[in-house]
Amino acid sequence: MFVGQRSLVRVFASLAAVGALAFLTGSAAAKDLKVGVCKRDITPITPALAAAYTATFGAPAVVNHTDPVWMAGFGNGRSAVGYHDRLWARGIVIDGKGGRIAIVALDLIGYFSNEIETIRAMIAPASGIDYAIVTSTHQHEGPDTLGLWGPDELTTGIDYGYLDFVNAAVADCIDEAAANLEKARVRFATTTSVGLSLGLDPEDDGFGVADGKVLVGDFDLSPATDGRIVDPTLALMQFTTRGAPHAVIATLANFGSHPESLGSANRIITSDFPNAARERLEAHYGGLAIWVSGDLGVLQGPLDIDVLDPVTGNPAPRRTFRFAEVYGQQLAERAIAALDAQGIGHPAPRIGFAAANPVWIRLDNPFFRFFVAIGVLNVRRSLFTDGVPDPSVGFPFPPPFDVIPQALGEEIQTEVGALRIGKGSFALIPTELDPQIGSTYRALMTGARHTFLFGLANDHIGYQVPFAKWDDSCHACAPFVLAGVPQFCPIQPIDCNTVFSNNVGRQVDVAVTEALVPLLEALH
Amino acid sequence: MSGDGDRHGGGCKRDRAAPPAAPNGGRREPLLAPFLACIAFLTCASLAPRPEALAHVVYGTRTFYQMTVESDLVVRGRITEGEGLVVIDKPPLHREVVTAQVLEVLRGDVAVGQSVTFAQHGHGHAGYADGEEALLFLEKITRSPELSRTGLGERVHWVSRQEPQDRVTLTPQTRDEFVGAVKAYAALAGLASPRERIEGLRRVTVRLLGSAEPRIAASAVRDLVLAANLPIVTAADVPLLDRLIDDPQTAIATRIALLAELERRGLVSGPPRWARLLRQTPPGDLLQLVRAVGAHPSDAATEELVRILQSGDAELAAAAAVSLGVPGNERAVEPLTGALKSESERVRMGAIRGLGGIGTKAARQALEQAATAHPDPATRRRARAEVAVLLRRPTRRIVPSSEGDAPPLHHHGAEPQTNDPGNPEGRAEPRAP
Repeated sequence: MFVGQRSLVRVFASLAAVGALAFLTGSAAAKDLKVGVCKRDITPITPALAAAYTATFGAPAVVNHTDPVWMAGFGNGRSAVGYHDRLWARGIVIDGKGGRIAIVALDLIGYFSNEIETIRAMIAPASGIDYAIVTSTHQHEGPDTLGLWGPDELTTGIDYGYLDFVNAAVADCIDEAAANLEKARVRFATTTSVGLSLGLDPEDDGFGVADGKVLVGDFDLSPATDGRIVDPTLALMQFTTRGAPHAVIATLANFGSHPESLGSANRIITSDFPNAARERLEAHYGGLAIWVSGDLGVLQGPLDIDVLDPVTGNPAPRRTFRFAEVYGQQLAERAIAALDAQGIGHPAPRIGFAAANPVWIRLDNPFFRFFVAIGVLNVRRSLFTDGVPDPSVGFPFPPPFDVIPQALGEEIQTEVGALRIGKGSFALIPTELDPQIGSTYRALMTGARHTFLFGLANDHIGYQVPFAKWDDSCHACAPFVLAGVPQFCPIQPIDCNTVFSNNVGRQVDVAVTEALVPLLEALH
Repeated sequence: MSGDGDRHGGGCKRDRAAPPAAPNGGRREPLLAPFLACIAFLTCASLAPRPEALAHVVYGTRTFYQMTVESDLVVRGRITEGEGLVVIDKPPLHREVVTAQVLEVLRGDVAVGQSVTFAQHGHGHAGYADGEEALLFLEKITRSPELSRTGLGERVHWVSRQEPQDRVTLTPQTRDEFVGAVKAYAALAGLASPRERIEGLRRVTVRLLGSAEPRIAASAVRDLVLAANLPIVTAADVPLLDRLIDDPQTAIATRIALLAELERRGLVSGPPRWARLLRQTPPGDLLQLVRAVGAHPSDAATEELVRILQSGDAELAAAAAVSLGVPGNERAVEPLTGALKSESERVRMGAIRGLGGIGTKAARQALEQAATAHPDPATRRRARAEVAVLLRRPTRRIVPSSEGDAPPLHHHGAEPQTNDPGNPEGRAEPRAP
């Protein structure tokens, strides 16, 4: 559906297909699966918050961030005042026939590819990592690592010293995991969150997650839910020790829901509901729990659902830590029920991976071009023209809009990847992926019994909306909107919902899909 | 550029930049020609209130001006029930609502003393306590079909999209300032002459830039930025605005944003002012400024940043090191190389970032030296990574070459590196900062 509609994208698979061949053509000779795990505390600690950190966690505070911590995800000027739970980098190194990969999930809003390239370069060669995957949970209750949520929209919220700290922590984490590999088995399970929520809100259909943005065309696809399309898939991968009693080493949960259940009024640092989910999984199984966000795009999230608090018998109050706790625990219970129904895992699954990097995507968004041009949006990633960094600025709109400056570089670059581990298949997407596209990707993973979608993987470039449902009104009317005369735009109504305004453009879906499909084909 | 002709909608010459095809049949309305006779822009831009159909025109945090003109009702109200709840059995609905008594009407049609009940809608709710006085920006619930088509629409007529950061609680100290600003914005919509509106917005913006209430000043700066090159500030306003920039009582974020905007508009020469600001700003505000200056490079700024780099304050030095990391900023290589010897790891890491950002042959050599010979393992490791990342960028034009590797610093409006002089899309000639 999304593939090959236009050939606007150049994909250079410079990194890649290395492991794909091994996956498809591997001999019968098996290689033992080995895994190692790690976690690093990446909670931002400022001089002003150091005492609060110690008081909350009973641990010494080592300052790694300047004051204040600007909290990302909602509006500007939201400075942190304390802690609820720690933010983590949680990782696993998986070694087997086909290669050695690392997966690290960060409790962060997102992480740009340039920082991830730095992390990769910091991993010790002795760790022997063939492919390092760094994802972000996209939680909205932690530090600004992208630069959009500073004190105001004109000022970055990034402390680069903190990024240096995170980069070193992640590289250390991977090195530690690689140094502690042990023989293991892997098992998978797939369940859903259907029925988890109460359906008290008109936007809550009981899927345990709600669609906060209905697109044109969604009504036809899902008339029973007034166009709301969600992905309730909860995919699970668990590693145990090779021999009895098959102690759990790590449990990875993959689900598409914005970790933003505390809402925009919260100023207490937390990893949101994944914290509760991980704690429950670790309490039940032991080992390390890793939460990886999936196809949470088009505002799939928990803000408009109600979940039953078993303590009170009433809905947990929304936008509270109690809600996050109940929601996370209930997702974990679903995971536990599904995993407990599985047998012991496979001791020698084949591993395959492939990646396309760079993937070039045309920047269509005139708002981004405007904010880059005036120096507001300084994301430390260049625009490119013909593959060359292009910092040029001009005034390309026709009169009377030729007073609005625009950055002129044509494209951004990002990375798309795919991964196979035995019965499990993984798409590694740098976007906030629309669930409808997610289901398409899952369908492409033929032969895999369990499908995973890693959103915000190895980069964060904004939303990915189905090509066919793209509403161009926001971008097309940008000069009118910027000039304050949107009513004169020939396209009405204008929809500048965050799904479209925080979006590189319509070509994102085409570019990412065109890059991903051959990678999946190579692994299936 | 791509040449597809579908990047930008509207314009005087439709053959040059025709509006894109409407994504859904029938949505485009061919009504633009009269407007796009190119006479209206400078006279009505930025001032017209949005019609109801444009309820979803939102980009980032709204300014007070935007909130005022986009609302159907703006009132000063006393919260009488901050945590009300509408409960409907069929279909099931639980929705929190707020009720306020109207104390003053700033925009819209409602009686003083009347109660208004509204739902809060959005990622976060502003949240109100009983008894407090607040500025309330409200829309008719019919503008939110997802709410109005539920049973809520029969019980509640108003919706607030104010996020927590939009919440305005009034006190005797702040009431006049906020109310005065909103009244001024509301009055603009009533001006008949577009020319009067432009002049009115100029007056209001310039006045509110100097507001004692930092949120109002910050909002006015954003209006200024979003107005692109509309003349809502002029050269005549520069002396007043210059005083604001120099005034330590002005919030540092406003000082930075205002200077950046005046520089972008060509109303001031940026380099000496950034340098002066770096010299004059008190330590408590300096970190934010140092980070911002990286986007406004110049030799004068480099000189000041080097001074800060060598001043001994690790936080500031680290930030200065990063801000010195402008492509081709050869003058910063030596001081950054010196900073690699700092006792502070934070400064060393900043210096590595800075050198990587400069990206010249000399910068890379400094990194390579650190990668192999620095006594600190963490520094060696980070420097090795930076070198590796640099070497993986074969397309990076500024990376070392034998014919010289120090291109000029990139200012906004700097010469396009890849521009085609014959560009049919009309890529504009660069403007001097």
